[in-house]
Amino acid sequence: MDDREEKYIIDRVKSGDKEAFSLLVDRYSDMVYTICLRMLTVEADAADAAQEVFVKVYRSMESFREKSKFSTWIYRISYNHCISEIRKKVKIIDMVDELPDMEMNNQDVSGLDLLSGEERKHYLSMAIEALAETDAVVVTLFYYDELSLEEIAEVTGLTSNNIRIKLHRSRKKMYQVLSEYLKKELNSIV
Amino acid sequence: MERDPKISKLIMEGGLEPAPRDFTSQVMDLIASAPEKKAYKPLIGKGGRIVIILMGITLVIFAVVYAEPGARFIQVGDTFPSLEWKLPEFNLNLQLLSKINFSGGIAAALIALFILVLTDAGLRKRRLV
Repeated sequence: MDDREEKYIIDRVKSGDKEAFSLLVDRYSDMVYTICLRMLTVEADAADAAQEVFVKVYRSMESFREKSKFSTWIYRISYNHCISEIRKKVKIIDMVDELPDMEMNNQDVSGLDLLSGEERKHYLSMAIEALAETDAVVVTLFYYDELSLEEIAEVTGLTSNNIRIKLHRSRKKMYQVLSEYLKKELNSIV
Repeated sequence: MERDPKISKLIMEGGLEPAPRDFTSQVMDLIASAPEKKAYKPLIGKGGRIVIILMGITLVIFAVVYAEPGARFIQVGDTFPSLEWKLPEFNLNLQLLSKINFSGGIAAALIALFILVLTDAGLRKRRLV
């Protein structure tokens, strides 16, 4: 689905075609679910939250003025919904231990190339789990959806500078976690 | 800001978390079963509100203009006997209006309606925010 098709579907939903909305759900379900899972960490909670996000999106379609991209708008709703879910559970968000400055050279995670795709995926999910909820979402939006810093700022309501710091911090943390796991893996082989 | 190629490759390779099976149909069921959020529609239309507001204003003007000369607008108790607010003795000569004889009940109902409409307008403004 390209942007033109998406706009056509959005217009159809706005004019009352409920069924057309399922096409938008199909397109964004994985990303919205991923955002929810990164933030809420529990699969069942993430699935419930993602469903609630789509219901919210459907009900707010009239207010989508198309000033920003539809994806940015839907990610913002997802992000805000998860933030309020986290607040309900009085979970502390955005807590990242201060990491000692470490060299992020190729040696640290070069062993990744020796692993199978499945193993790499496993280590990636562990590295992402080590991040703070909001940081995990920022990383996903930046690296997977390739959003710009400004677009991520629009989704999260943070400043671009803050996003930059979060990305830098997350990269450090991910390198640290990955290199630790890889060292353990290497030791077990030797 | 540059994307770290290693992290980028890893995340791209890892992909997104797939949504649970039948996710779309579950969402569509939720949307279908959830009651539609109806747009707020006031009981009294815009025209009706204008008429009521005009009637209220007319009633107030009528009460002020056609009050008996020297009538007390606010009854001040014995504490301040020197304060006696008298209405000005002017008359707009609205003969037609002077013939209308509002009973106390109708006047009270009209004022209540006037207040209701003003309150509703205030609430509508708040809802928009």
